[in-house]
Amino acid sequence: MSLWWRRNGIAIAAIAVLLPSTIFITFSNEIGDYRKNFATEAVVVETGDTADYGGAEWSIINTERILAGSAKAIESELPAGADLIVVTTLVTPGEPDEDGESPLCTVYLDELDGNAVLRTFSDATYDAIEHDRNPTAVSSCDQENLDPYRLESIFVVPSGATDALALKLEVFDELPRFLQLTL
Amino acid sequence: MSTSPLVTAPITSSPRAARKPFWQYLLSGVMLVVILGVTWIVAHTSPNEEEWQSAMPVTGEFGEVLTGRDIEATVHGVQLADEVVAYTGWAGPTSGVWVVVDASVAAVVTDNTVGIGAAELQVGSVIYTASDRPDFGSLLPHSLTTGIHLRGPLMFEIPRELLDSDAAASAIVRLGRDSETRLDSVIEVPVDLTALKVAASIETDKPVWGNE
Repeated sequence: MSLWWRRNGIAIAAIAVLLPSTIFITFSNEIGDYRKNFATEAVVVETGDTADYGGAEWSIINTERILAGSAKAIESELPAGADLIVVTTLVTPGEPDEDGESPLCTVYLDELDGNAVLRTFSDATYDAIEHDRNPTAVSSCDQENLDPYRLESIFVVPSGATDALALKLEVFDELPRFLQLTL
Repeated sequence: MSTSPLVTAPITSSPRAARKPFWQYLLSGVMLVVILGVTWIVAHTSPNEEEWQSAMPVTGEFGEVLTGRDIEATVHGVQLADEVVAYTGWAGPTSGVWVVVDASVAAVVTDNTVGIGAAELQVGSVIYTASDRPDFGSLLPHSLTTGIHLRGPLMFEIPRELLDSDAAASAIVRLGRDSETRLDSVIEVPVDLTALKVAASIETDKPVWGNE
């Protein structure tokens, strides 16, 4: 080993370790903070199972697919070439939060290919369709309801969408974790 | 007077031993050429400052289904008119001319964001955004659905004298999923505005939701 390396070796080794470490720690912190605002960690719930998440228990109790062209589809005034997926979730709130409320949630429908999400559909409650809703169910999470209740979510999907579907349920305070309730 | 004898140091290394072999010079030269060559390739193939963040266009023709990252669109046709009457009853007089684009648009991946983020008509270096004056008579305020198309009009208001310019022959209709089109795909369809006649008035239909 030359004299130059003996003089500078420790400093160069320190740079070689500290520089990548600094970059890694900085980026991982930034990315971690960024990811906290998005649903990136799926908690998969198999069909029929119940999940404890965000201060409530969630389980899917009914799923219906109204096919394009059927009498129900025509009655619901679905757009051409589209099916309607109706998902009923039993929500059992746990202990109320500090404001005395049950959790607020957002739901989407994911079309899956294995573990990968192919497409995501938003709730169609405010879309231009005439679906007759279940009068005993609500269309969005009811924060004031501390008793078990039924949440009915509806999604308009293209007829070509497969049956590999899951309800994506997010409670903001729990992000980046979210429930992926298999239909 | 006595003199001491002159002492000279012996020569211990020969000039032949200090000289580098020729192949080392050759190797250095080759390495230099290689490094310069790689530098040239990198310099001439790397994206420039504008390209780093530019949109990624998906270009096609009228009637063609064009698919980007999260937008799928078809431009069915373009008309020019002095006045547009939307299905809502809104009528739009203009001192310029209306460019009415008939388009179908759908989201591809997710519909949890707003509708069409970017609806533009580029004539030369000038970009005109779709008018929000027709309100729901235009596709602009409508939400998009994943995989299900929404067909309807987009209206652009441009100066009449622009139709006589060379740039009008190669105008571009551009549609993007988000208002921020950088680093995202955009649908682009070229249109020759100089080849179109200006109608006195056009009535546009209610946007239709559904796959044909």
